[in-house]
Amino acid sequence: MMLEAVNVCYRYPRGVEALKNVNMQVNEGEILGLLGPNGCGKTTLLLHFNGILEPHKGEIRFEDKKIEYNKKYLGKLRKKVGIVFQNPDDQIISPTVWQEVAFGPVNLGWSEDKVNGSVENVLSLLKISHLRDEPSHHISFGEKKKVSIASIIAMDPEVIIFDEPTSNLDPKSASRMMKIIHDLNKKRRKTIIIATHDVDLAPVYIDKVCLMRDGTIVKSGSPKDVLLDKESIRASNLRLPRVGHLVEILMEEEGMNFDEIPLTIGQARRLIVDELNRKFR
Amino acid sequence: MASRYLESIDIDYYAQMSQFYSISPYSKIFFSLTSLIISIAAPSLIVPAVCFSVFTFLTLFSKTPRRLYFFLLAMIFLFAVFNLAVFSFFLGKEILLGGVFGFLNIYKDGLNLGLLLFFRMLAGFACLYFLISTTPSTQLFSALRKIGIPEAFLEIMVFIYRYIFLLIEDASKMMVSLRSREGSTFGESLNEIRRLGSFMANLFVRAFEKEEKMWISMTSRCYDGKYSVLNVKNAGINELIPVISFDLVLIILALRTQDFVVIS
Repeated sequence: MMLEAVNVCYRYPRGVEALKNVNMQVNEGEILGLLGPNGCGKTTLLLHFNGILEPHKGEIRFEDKKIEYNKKYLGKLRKKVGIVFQNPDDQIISPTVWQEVAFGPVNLGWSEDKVNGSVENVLSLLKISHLRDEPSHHISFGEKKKVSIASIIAMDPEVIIFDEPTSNLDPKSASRMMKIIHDLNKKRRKTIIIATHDVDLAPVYIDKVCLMRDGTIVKSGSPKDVLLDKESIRASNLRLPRVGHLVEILMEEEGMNFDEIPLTIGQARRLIVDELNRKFR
Repeated sequence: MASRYLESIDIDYYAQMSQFYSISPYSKIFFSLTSLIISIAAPSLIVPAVCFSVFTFLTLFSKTPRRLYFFLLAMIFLFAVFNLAVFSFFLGKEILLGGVFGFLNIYKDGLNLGLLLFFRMLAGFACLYFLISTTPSTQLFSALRKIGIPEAFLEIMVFIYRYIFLLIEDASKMMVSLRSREGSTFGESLNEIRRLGSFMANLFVRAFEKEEKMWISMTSRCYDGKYSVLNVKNAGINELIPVISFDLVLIILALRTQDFVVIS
């Protein structure tokens, strides 16, 4: 087990119970989607995995060992678990793109050559090499988002956590972003956690889904199990993926018969073609 | 106005683009700080005036935006002019010109002292502006660390430096939102004061929030209180020789002109 939350409870200083008995397992090499409405505690939970917040009750385990909250251990943990925050403006702190990407590697105490190599490598991976000397506050939002991802990948962590990677991006950039995340998982074998409420993009890439509501995980399993559980999904202020919704309406209103409700366009196409073939041939 | 302030956020960026970027930060720190100290210590206004001209020339030559330099200079200049007026009108014994506006006297010794301070201010500004507009803050801070400035002190400096711009940015965004909604109530003084009050209170809260976010962002990337950067280039002898000779010239000039006064 790469990362695990066991009965985690967390209360903010002003008294809000943000997490109530959260249990969650992340396996090595998978892409896990953490789905939930705004304010359900996704970000709070993610901050626990990096050792930023310490649970009041319960524990976080990394590689089957309980996290210790001392400087030395946390330093090691943060090298292996990186977080890309939702708003790149909160994350970017350096004057130029190059310096921003180099911030983490430099903190790790790498040699100058190693830092240089890693930064160049990441910039070309995300195709933002041309931005290296740009002031990091004056590039577009999509570019900032890429820079904030680059600054985490440059540290070469084993687990990368993305908090709302597609929010505020235009549709094309959003699917490119998911492609980047997918490649990180498949080509560089990173374990990935994505917090999102984008139910359309999620099933295309995600291996396992945890559905969150009011500070607890209410359901977890394969995208199919979770996303097609209409009651749970709707109680969490989410909805079925658009294609799923369409097929549901076709079944209920138009009297068509489908064996299952699809989550992606590919699945829907196959199902609809099969149904039409059955009906008209 | 707000946009002008925002521009100064990029001063680090300009520093990166500057002509003198490749020169070691040690040389630049040494150059501007020694010149600053000599200008302040010099008993007459010749040395500060020379320093001001030299550093202004260098700053303008270094490809940093001139508009920003003159904007900031104008503020210092205004302050210095008021200072000069106060000194020459209210300080001193020997009357140079009596009955200005009917009731004010211009004092000779006050005027001389005022002029000296005037040039010291401008020289101080020019020296320090040269330093920050040619040295990115990260280099500056790590050079200061290696010189031996205490860690705690440096960390505070780093945070204030990073943070002040974020705060200005936030304030100007809030100002835009405020202005866009103020409508017809503009000018009612009580309302204005109330609004300013809530503006400041909100800014204060946002400052805390922003600080927390920044801390999280830095901590999660293994920041442990040491703002480290890559190796800082050491000062070469070919850089130090001109700097030291410039300082020597300034010192000799200061000694030779110590009795100089504008109005004797």
